[in-house]
Formats: sequence, structure tokens, C-alpha cells
Amino acid sequence: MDNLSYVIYVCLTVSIGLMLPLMEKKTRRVMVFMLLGVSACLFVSEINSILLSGFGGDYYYVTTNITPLTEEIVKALPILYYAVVISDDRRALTMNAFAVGVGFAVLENLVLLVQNIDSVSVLWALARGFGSGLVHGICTVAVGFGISYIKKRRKLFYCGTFALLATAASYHAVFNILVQSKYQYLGILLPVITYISIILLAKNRLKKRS
Amino acid sequence: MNTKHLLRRILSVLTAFFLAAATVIPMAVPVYAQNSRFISEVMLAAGEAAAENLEKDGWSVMMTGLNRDVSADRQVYLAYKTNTGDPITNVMISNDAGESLIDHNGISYDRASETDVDEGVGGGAGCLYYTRDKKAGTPLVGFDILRSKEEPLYPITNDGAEIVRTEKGAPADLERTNEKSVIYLAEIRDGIVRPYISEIGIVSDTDKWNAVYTACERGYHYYVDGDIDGSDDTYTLLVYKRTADVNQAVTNITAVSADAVKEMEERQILDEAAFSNNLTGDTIGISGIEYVRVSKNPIQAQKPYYLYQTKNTSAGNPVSMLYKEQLEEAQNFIFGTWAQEYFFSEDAATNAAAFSANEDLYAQLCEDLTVCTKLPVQVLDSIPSVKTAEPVTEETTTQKAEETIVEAPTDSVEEMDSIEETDAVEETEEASGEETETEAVAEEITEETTEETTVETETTTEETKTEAAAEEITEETTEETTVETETTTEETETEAAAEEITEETTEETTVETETTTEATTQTPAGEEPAYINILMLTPRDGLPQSVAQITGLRDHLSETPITESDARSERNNELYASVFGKGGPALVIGSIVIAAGVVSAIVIRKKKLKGAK
Repeated sequence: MDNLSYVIYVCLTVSIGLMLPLMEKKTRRVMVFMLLGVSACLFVSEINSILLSGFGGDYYYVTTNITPLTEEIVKALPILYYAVVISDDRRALTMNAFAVGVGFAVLENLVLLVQNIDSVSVLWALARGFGSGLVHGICTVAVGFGISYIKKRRKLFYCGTFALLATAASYHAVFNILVQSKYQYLGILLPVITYISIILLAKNRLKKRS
Repeated sequence: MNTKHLLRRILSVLTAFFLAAATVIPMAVPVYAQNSRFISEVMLAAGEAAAENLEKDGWSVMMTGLNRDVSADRQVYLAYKTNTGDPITNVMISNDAGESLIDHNGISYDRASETDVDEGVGGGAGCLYYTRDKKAGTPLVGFDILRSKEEPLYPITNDGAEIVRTEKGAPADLERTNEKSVIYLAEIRDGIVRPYISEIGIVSDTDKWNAVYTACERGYHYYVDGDIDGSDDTYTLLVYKRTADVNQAVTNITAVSADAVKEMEERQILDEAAFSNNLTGDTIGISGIEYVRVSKNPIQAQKPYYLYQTKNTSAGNPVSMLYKEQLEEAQNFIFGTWAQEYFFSEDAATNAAAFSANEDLYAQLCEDLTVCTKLPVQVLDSIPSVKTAEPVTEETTTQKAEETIVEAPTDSVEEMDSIEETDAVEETEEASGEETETEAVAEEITEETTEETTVETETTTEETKTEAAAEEITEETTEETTVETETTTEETETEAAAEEITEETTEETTVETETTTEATTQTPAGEEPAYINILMLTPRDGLPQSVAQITGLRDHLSETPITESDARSERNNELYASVFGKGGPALVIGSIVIAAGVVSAIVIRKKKLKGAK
């Protein structure tokens, strides 16, 4: 059997990629970033496996200390590139960042699904969808949103970028620790609560503006 | 740009670099489980007050005392410190009164404290001694107290656990003076994984726990939970040792009825095809493979039987686990699903207590989705042996072969250029489906000829019988016949007969049988084969290499080196925190894309800056 991660990746990217020329500019940009997120996941999975073997196969240690960092750094790269080279528009960055995160989560969930096909259930899917899916989205949004600020304050750019990545990695690591503990439900609740808070804040801001 | 501006910029870069380094450096220098926490000091404290004082001085004190049925003020507690100096590599109990002693291996030990390990019940069992000598082993990371009967079942904790012994090498009973009680102290080393079974044994006693402790004393680290003996008055345990060396692994286990062994011992069957010429009940040859008897006495069942084990690689894959379950046919399964259901479910916890401690190994197998095969252990009513040096006799068969491959390469010593090779591929499938007879006969009339005939038979049906007969009418002829039979069915019978009508002829016949189901057997027609309720678990393609890298049961995050059941739930990863690849071009392609992105970003930035100027 071929490496299933690649099979899924090809299935996803080819079908979405073929759709891109038919899309409007904004939508296309979001979809491109989603595909970048999918690609980032594949890339990171290889890095993670190297790190896992490098750290003596200690799965728990690696998933709570190492992979959050690698994942957040790789996910942030397309956003950083966009911010530095193309535009630092806050709305665009936030939207792109969320697309990267969701794309990342989509491939991650699919790969885990096929790797554990015998033990998955609808509950597992809900937990993954609301938990991991949101975590990746929120973490990348935090980076994207933050970059739109620090890009305009150049003195803050380096340490600000680092701070954003550190925040995202810490949040991600907390999630990873929780979902591997006996308090799994807290791990799932964490991103859900964060997401609801963000949505409420965003709505309030929109209301104030209007 | 003024100086103030420049300094600010330098400061911000330096701060960012410092923060990055502070995060990355600890990750680049990971603290592995093997060396993160080790026991560096040990001490015994008599009485709860003394233990509390030790705690105030920074010692960790085990919650469980070393003595049974004594009040807290008389109880003896084991206290330890971690990472305060060189690691302790071994401890022992000795009633030698000296400050230090030398054990039977010539390793020097120092006394930890003057308190006897059984001070609470009067003393006399001896003091605790320790060594930091690296020859004694890897650093200790924990202790466990093993008590009989009422205490929770934790007789053997993991591959790295060993019972603390006396200076003479015998297991040290902490309450040696109390005949009613047996208490052992187990020392735990990290990073020890022994995935294969190296030796099995049988232990019987009137009491289950006595049998368990007898197994411990004999150096067996694992047992299959449940009485395998049919008699009510004894409790018989199947026990085993584990090894990391695949060459020392048991590859097959079979049961032979006591009657058959007795009959064989009487006959003293001479089996020239087997490795042993003069076979006795201690060693038997089944399909050319030597099996060694596990116990002197038969296991009592409806039909008493002996267990035999072999380490011959032709008999199968290394056996990784044994467990008690009735099964009459081989079952392949992906380890992950099975292991989660069996080993780690609440219901199975007691059934598989001896296995569950090896959680890391099973987690790794689960992660790798290793395909394993469950093999039932069959009871043989007779010892199938290869009959040689006898004329081929016509035997009727009641087998069906779906696929039979017969290869008969022939090399002539004298006529090297005109090597005679005979490849006969026969696929036989009779419409009646019941009887198949395959005979591959290679006849060669040559002078001073060496002939090797290989007959490989693969069957996937119920009964197969393959006869490969090689006849040579020749002078000074040597014939070697190898018959390899692979079956995935219930019953297989392979006979390789070589007949020679010749003068000065040597004939060697080797029969190798690889089964993914059960041992080769002969069962009287119309009689169902008997199985004992022991299953072997063998990874189909061997264990993954990465198993060797597993760091052991404990992880460095544990609060205390003592094994605790809570540690396991902490490692539960049903939701799988991250995704891991299996090697592919993504790493290279991704790196190239990132590099290209960085370069293009720099170029575009420069162009933009130039444009702005």
C-alpha cells in the first residue's frame, strides 16, 4: 500500500486545485491558502516523524513539547510570506490564516482517520473536528492577526513574530497535553470556548463600527 | 539612522534571539526518560515519625511499608532521593553486619542504613545495601513492593523490573522470619524492553500466589493468568521469560499428549531426519524441528500433555506473547485494534495484568499497526516423524491442494555444464475436492551424482498431503530432499519419501514446515484435533525496529519513580495529538519551496525598497 498521507494529499489538492480557476479572486486566495495548509501538514508530518525518532520515540514528549512548535512555525510561513511580500491587510491575513489552519487540520484528521480506521467513531470525528480543527485554525489566526499589527510597527516585527509563534505553540501544546490526559473533554472544550469568544468579540467590534 | 534608533533595533533583535534560544535549546537537549530521573540515594526509616523527618529533609518516602500487619509507628519505609548524585545501579538485602560487602559477582555494596528491612516484625532479615557500580546494571528509577494475597496484583511490573536479591543471588524475602508472609522488593530499571519470549516454564502449587512467587524466584518475569491445569487441588501457571534478542526467541510451542510421549520413550524412535539422532521425551523432532520439553511432569487435563518449545526459526516467527483463550484456528489481526480491546480495557485488565505493564511496547505495536497472528497450541496425539531409509509405500491421501509447487533443481557434480534442473509446477485441484495426491518423481541415472530436490507445497485447504519421492538408480549418489510446506489450514500432513534402489547411496531428507496456523500433526481420521487454551501471539513480519528505541514503561514526567497506574491514563492518546509521516518526498519538496519562498521574499522586498527610494 502506498503512503496514504500522500494519496489523500493528492486527492485533496488535485480536486480543489482544478476548481481554483473558476473561483473569484478572494475565494481563490482563501482556497490557495487552504491548500498551503494541507501542504504544510504533509511537510510537517515528515519533520515530526524525524523528530520523533530523534527524541527516542517518546511520543508523549514529542507531541507535547516539539510538534506544537514545528506545526505552528510551518503554518505561519505562508502567512508571514503574504504579510511581508504581498499585503498586511488585517482582514485578508486573518482569513488566509484561518484557511491555512483549517487546511492543515483537514489533512491531519484524514490521515489520522485512515491510520486508525478500526477505532474511529462519530464521536471521535466530532472531537477531532471541534478540537483539533479549531485549534489549528485559532492558532494560525492568532499569528495572522498579530502579524497584521506588528507588520505596521517594524520595531516589533522580530520579537513580535516570535511572541506570536510562542503563544500559538503554547496554546497548541496545552491542547495536546489535555487531549492525552484523562481530562480529554477539557482539551476539546478549550478551542470551542476560544472560538466562541473570538466570534462574539468580532461581532461586537463589527456592531461598534457600524 | 541615529545611534538611539540603532541600539533599539539591536536590542530588539537580541531579545528575540534570546527568547528563541531559551525555547529551542532545552528542546535540542532533551531530557530522556532513561536519564531524567534516577535514584541516587536510598534509606530505610523505621516508624512513621522517622519517615516524616526524612520527608522534611527532602527524601521521598514510599507510601507502602515494607512490613505487613504492623502499625505505622513500627512500619519500615523505603525512602529515596533522585538525581542528587551518581545513580544507584542495584540494591540487595543482606544480613551481613558490615558497612559494605561484596556480592557473588564481585561488586561492592554499601549499607544504606542500619535498619533491618523487617524491623517492624522483629528484624533479622537483613539491611538494605546499594551500589553505584555500572557493572551492576543501568540506573534504578523505581521500586515496587510485591506482597502476596490481599495486595493488588503487581507481581511483576515490566521488562525492567527485577526482584531484589541477597548477596548470594536468591530472591530476598523481606519478612524471611515470618513464615506466613512473603514480601519482595522489586527494583525497576528504565529503558528495558524485551519483546520476545525466550523461555517458558510451568509452575504448580496449591495456591495461585505461591505459584506466582515461585515463578518470580525462578527468574520468570511473566505468567499467563489462569490455571492451565485441570485438577482442582493444584494451580498450574504457564510462566515465561522475555528477551530482546530475537535469536533467543521461542518460535513455536506445541503440546504432546503424555501417552504419545510415553510411547515414544519406550520405542526410542530413531529419527535420522531430525537434528537429534536419539530422541527421548525431553527432546522430540516434529517435521525435522527439534522441540524441547518444558516440564518434567505432564499438565493434567482430560488428556494429560507435555508442553514443548522450539527456537528454530523454521518453526515460525518469534512468539511475543502468550495468553489463555480457546481458539481453534489462526487469526490474523491488526495489533492496534486487538490490543486496545484486550489489554487495556477495564474488563481485560485482570486477565492480562502481566502484559499490560508493557504498555509502551504495545503502544508502539498499535501505532505501527503490526499485523499479528494468534496461533492456537494444538495437542499432538502422536509424534509425527519423517520416515527415511524405507521404501516408498503407497499411502492413500485425503487431502486437497489448491496450489502445489514442486521444484526439483538438480546439480550434477561431474557434468556442471549440463546441470540437470527439473522444475515441475503442478497445480492440482480435483473436482471432488477431497483427495489430492501430488507426487513429484525425479529420476536420474547418472554416475557420481549429487541431487538436491526441493519440494515446496503451499496449501490453503483443509487437508493436504504431498508426497515427493525422488528415486535414483545410480551408483554413489547423494540425494537431499527438502520439503517445505506452508499451510494456512487446520490440518496438514507432509511426507517426503526418498527411495533409492542403488548401491552405496546416501540419502538426506530434511523436512521443514512453516505454518501460519498450527503445528504439523497427524490426527486420526474422523477425530477433531485437540487444542489447549493457550494462544501464541506472533508478529507476522517481526517486530518493528523502532521497538528497540522505546524507553520503557515510565516517562520522565512522573512525579515519583514508583510505578503508578495513573501514569498510564496520562498517556492515553485516543485523539492522537499530531500526525507523523512515514517518509516521502514532502520533506525535500517542502524544504525547497520554503527556501524558494525566502529567497523570493528577500528579492521582492529589495525591489520594493528600491522602488520606494
